[in-house]
Amino acid sequence: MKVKDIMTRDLSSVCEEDTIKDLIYLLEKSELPGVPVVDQEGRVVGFISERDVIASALPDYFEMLRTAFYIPDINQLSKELEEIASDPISKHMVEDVVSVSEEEEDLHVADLIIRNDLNRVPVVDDQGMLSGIVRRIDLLGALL
Amino acid sequence: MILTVTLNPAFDKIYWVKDLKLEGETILSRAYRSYSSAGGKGINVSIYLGRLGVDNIAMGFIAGHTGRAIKRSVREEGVTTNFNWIDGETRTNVAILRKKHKDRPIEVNEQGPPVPEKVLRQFWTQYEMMLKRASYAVISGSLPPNVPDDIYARMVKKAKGAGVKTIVNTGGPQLDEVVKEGPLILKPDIRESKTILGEPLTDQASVLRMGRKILQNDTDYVLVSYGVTGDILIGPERAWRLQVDKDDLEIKNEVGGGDALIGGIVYKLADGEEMLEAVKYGMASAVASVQNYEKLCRDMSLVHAERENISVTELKEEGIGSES
Repeated sequence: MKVKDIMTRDLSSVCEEDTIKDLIYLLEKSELPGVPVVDQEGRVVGFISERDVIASALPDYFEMLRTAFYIPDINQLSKELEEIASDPISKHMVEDVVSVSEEEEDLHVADLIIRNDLNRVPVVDDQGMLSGIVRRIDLLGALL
Repeated sequence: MILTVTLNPAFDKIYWVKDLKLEGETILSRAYRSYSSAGGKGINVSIYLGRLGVDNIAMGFIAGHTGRAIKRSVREEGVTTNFNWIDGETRTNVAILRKKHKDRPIEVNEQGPPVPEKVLRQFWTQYEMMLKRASYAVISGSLPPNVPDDIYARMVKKAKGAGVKTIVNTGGPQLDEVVKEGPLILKPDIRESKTILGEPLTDQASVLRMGRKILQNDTDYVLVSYGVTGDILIGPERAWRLQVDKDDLEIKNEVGGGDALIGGIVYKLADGEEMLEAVKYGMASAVASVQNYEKLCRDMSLVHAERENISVTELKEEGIGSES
């Protein structure tokens, strides 16, 4: 099966210059875990998820310790979030984004998702424009 | 690619009742049939096109559980979605159809949640982005709170600048504004008010006068639905009346009929069809749709069959065109 047969045709995205606050609003309202970042033409230039925002707001040592035990209180996290709230998304997004074309095989996407531990992979056309998304659940649904 | 914009989408709930009790001791009316679906004029057009396998993108503002239900149901019809999310809950519109009543449905439409300024700004960015992919843009329906009356006019202007042809179906103050920018087709929504640009639409002559008034600006065609069975198309130099000649026409669900009309028109125009033929096809789509309980007819063979029941008459206007 090809990507075009299983993908979700949704173009929910943010622009590079939108702020982290805009992103949190969108993710909260839409209940999406993350969205592609596009430039003014609609080309995919990155991806940003709630995980990336949390990683940006947490102290650097969190990644090493992998526990919230060393964070004094939740207010510190809130303060860190406030500090990055007005930042442009481009500052915190994943730039090296994994994407696929509509013509690629489902097995290839499955491989990308597993190898990169991804939840969602943007689908782009031959000009790099966002045309949808492949979610893990899309693949599972197609396999069943 | 066809773009549809529904700034104030809705979840449509349609009830069929034998009788609607409005007075007396007992006021409970039970529906013997009900139907619900994603709605709003542009979304209906998108669903129509999606069922035909036509690539199209639906835009607009959605919110809450209803917004999620709309997004899901539109996507299941083969439509690409690009909605902006806002606070609150997308509206639910209710229509009640009474058995054996030939008159129009009783419709109650909610106002919809307000659109925050920052989301409106993001919408504009997305809209301009989507115009780069589109050949036609269908802009229709009411406006949600907090959105300026001239938004449709501005959208038409931007679309024209991007080389995208526009079809606008709306009423109220936004109609007065959009007239100034001149879309390809303007279809005034006359469900709430039968007075357009100060012209009370009482007969065919008044419809033609109103149409000519609109065409004085940059609009190419004005289309007016004259009941379910008759449309008037007014072009730069000629005008036509399209009429359904069918004795056994049984209207089951009028909701979405006008959107099937627009859907059929844009489908044919995008396919390279001439305007009059496209409108005829659109009207066949509308007639086929209103004869179904389900909103928007799925069976395209019925649409093709209905084309045979539509007659076209050129209208005589003082100083313009000729009578055929």
